[in-house]
Amino acid sequence: MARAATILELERAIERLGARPAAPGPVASTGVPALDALLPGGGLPRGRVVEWIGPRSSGKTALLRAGLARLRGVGESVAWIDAGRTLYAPDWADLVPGEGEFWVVRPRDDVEMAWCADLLLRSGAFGAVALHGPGGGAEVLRRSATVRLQRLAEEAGALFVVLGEVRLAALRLGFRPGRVEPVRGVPFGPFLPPSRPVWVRVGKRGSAEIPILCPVPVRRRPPATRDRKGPE
Amino acid sequence: MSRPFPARVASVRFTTDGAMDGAAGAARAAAILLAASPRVAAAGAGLCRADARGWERRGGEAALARALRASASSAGLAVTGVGIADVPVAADAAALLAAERGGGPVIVPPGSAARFLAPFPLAALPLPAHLRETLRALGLRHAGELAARPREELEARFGPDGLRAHRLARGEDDRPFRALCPDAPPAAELDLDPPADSLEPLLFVLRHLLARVCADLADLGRGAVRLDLEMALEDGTRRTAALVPARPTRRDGLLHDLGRAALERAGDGTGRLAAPVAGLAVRVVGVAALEARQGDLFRAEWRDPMAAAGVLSRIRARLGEEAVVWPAPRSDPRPESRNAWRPVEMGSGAWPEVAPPPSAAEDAGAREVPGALHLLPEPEPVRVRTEAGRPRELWDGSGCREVAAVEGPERLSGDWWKDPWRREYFRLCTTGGELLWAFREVRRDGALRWWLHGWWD
Repeated sequence: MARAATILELERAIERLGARPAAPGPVASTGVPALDALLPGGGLPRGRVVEWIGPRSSGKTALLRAGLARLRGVGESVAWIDAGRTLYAPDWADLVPGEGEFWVVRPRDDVEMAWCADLLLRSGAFGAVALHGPGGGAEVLRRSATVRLQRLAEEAGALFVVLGEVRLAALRLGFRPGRVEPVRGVPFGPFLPPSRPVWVRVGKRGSAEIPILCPVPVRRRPPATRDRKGPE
Repeated sequence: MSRPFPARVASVRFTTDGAMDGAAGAARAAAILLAASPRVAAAGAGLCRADARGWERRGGEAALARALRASASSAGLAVTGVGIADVPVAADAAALLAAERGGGPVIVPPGSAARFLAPFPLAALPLPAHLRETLRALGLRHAGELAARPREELEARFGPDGLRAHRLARGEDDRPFRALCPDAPPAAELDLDPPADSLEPLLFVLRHLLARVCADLADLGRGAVRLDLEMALEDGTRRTAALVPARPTRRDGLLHDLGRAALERAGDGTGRLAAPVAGLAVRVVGVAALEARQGDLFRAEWRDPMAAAGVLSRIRARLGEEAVVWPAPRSDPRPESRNAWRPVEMGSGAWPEVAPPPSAAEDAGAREVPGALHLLPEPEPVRVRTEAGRPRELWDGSGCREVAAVEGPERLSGDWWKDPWRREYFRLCTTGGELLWAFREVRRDGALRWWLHGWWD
């Protein structure tokens, strides 16, 4: 009886497998419901180049880290190409439970960076590859390289996120930090609430404000009064 | 680069009926004889050879002969004769003699191989048939007669074959010993004549060496954790490079990629080698059981971890050990020391446990995301205007930024016994929304200097 039930269950699973829609379609959740709600399909598209841009402290690394941590949580391998070598190890240690499958690859220049991305995507072994250029800024990849990597990501069904400007991206997420408004008449304290807003714009679909936990409490202070003594 | 034959060798002749027929039968017989000797090699139909060293304290070579017979009979292998000598050619002849006599083993005393071989007919020597016939036509019947002829004469008349026949007749046998030994890591090597001065022939040879080694690993049921790729240069020096796959493997394609990267590092970048290479060897220096993780037919996101290991090995081979890392934060007051990354330890550990996917309720609760710090590899000098000791404006290459809020200072110091340092860290929030991490360095002379060390993103 139990065997018959098991066989029936397997047959249904095989039917579901056959009925799975072909790519493109699968998405990866960012782990942040407010952001998922903005994204087409409810998550980041696999097999596409995703542009992930914003100035310093816009919260882009924190949000991408949250998404990659979620993928790690469901057993996917994740690689981060850190050409700028600015990742801070204590913030990323929890993505490696034991001997983990979160790997940081550290190329020395743009050429090696593109080569690493090519290899990682071509292998088909990674559920997500994040690429952070040396400057983390403008034009991380050349147009021809983007086309090539787009094709490899599609073949691998992998999420490929580029931190910085990249042409021909299928999806663009722009981040900007919310303002920390000083409170008049409150000199040096009390502490700010431990979160601050980050604005996210997804293509032309709209934007959302997502609270980002502040790394440490930041004291409020009154607006600066201009005092041109000059720097030290 | 050939491995010399052991100083004492035992030859075992056996009947070649049924399962022991042909080369495959000899390999099977060699595996049976491993019970008596740790190094055994199949030597053709009906013949195996074993390392006979080290029996002085275990009853002598006669005891080895008994052990070989006992292990053979327990597995149904019919041994006809056992001979022990300094060199294979003499041991083979001794085993032949023992088989003809039908009694105990024939043991040739050390140093007397040539004298022992002298009365044997030329058929006892492993010579090409045409050479044997020619020598017989010239009136040479026994090994002793051949050994007595001048070496130069044989070399001039028959070339390398004649020279080799002369050496065998004199009891000089330098044929390599390809032992079947399950506990010894596999190895393969090849001499290059003439030496190779470009990468292409080396890669060709390397592919075949690795195919051989991987086949041996398959026989052992193991994977390689580390291999040594040794190049013998024409000037007599040797260079060794380690090939370290991410996980134990016997995929020759992956190992070839690692070997290619190692050889390219030895070249000048244009496909030429720094020095001609006269020999190439691949030696497995560490083996381990192959790791595997159960896949899941019904989970589309399941991916082959060995493919990940392969590509990361390639990156590491080309960019260096530090190119593929895991975070390994240290407990250290200095932030740059706390920010430690360790090279991935290849071939270690089991696959990590996979946590179940988070439930919808857990996802719904993830509304706050902790910030991530970016730490500059080297702190950047900045200028800061302060009021009452607290930063108010910060200047760097991109201009001036007004500080809206500040937290600190957090005073850190250390290394007073060798290189004392004192820093005061501030967390700055600019009016543009940047969250910066800057510190004020207090020098020994009391001077202050400001540095930007990172930012949260």
